[in-house]
Amino acid sequence: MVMREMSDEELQHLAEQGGATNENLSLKEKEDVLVYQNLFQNLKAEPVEGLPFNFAANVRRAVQQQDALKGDLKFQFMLLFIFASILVAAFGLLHLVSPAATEQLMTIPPKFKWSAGLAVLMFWCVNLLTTGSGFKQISKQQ
Amino acid sequence: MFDEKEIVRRILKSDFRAFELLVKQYEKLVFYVVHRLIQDHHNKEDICQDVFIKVYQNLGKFQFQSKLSTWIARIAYLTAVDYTRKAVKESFSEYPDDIDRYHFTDENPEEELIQKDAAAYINHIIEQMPIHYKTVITLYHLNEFSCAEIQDITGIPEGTVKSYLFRARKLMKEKMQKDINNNGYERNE
Repeated sequence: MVMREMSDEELQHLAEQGGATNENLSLKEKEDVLVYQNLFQNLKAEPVEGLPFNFAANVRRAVQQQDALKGDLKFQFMLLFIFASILVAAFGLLHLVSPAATEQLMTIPPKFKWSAGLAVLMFWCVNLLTTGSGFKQISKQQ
Repeated sequence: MFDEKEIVRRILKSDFRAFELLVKQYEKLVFYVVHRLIQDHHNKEDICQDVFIKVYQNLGKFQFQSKLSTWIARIAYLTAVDYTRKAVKESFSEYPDDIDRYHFTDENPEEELIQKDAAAYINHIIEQMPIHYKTVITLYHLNEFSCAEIQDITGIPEGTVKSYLFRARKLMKEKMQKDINNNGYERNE
């Protein structure tokens, strides 16, 4: 009786089951199954190189730093918001208590008002930029 | 024992030690994917780190609809593919459009590698293959994912995954047999 030659798909399946010793296989089929088994074994081999042993700690540190910087940025914006809110509230309160005083405040030469406001804004911007550059450095490290 | 849900819950509460445990648990999985898909030896560690930062940033969106390993492998796969596209555009264009007709060329001196060691030789063959073949071979054999899980990771339909797996293994077997025969023939000469 002439045996049907096995397809490559069947040979791969047989190799996965570890069937190179199957007596019904021809010599060519046995050889194919053995090559497949050898291939599968090598495909499972772990790469020689790998990640450094402290990789997990490094990633944890990077994420932690990133989180801290994000928190700093949030804090900076919150600070600006609080400062602006206090300023507006104080101005509103002054207007309620003494409208004349508010009008007097408005008549202060603009350059004094703006220079005070600008000084606060500049201080905040410098803070923000320092935080931002730290953030970029960490991103680059990653 | 590694409890996925517990670890995720702790990380979402900003427990960085729990995140370190997660990285330790899955660093091999991520490295295998990145190692096989990316040729650039210098950036592998950075890309692995990038993968875990994405994991950390998106962990809140993970709904446990799949295994955590499948979800992380998907992030690793997408990051590696994205990196390959950006860094080595030609590596995609050099592959034939119809990868079912892909075959190895005879231009490379594999004989030298055969004599070194089998695993290095196999890796050398894999490096030359189209990215989809590399991916399914790695995820199936090295990471031990099922074809259905590979579908979840790569978005390639399960039937196509099986077809790529079969074709890639057949090509590799033929290449191995050819190189062994050539080597044996040359030695006999």
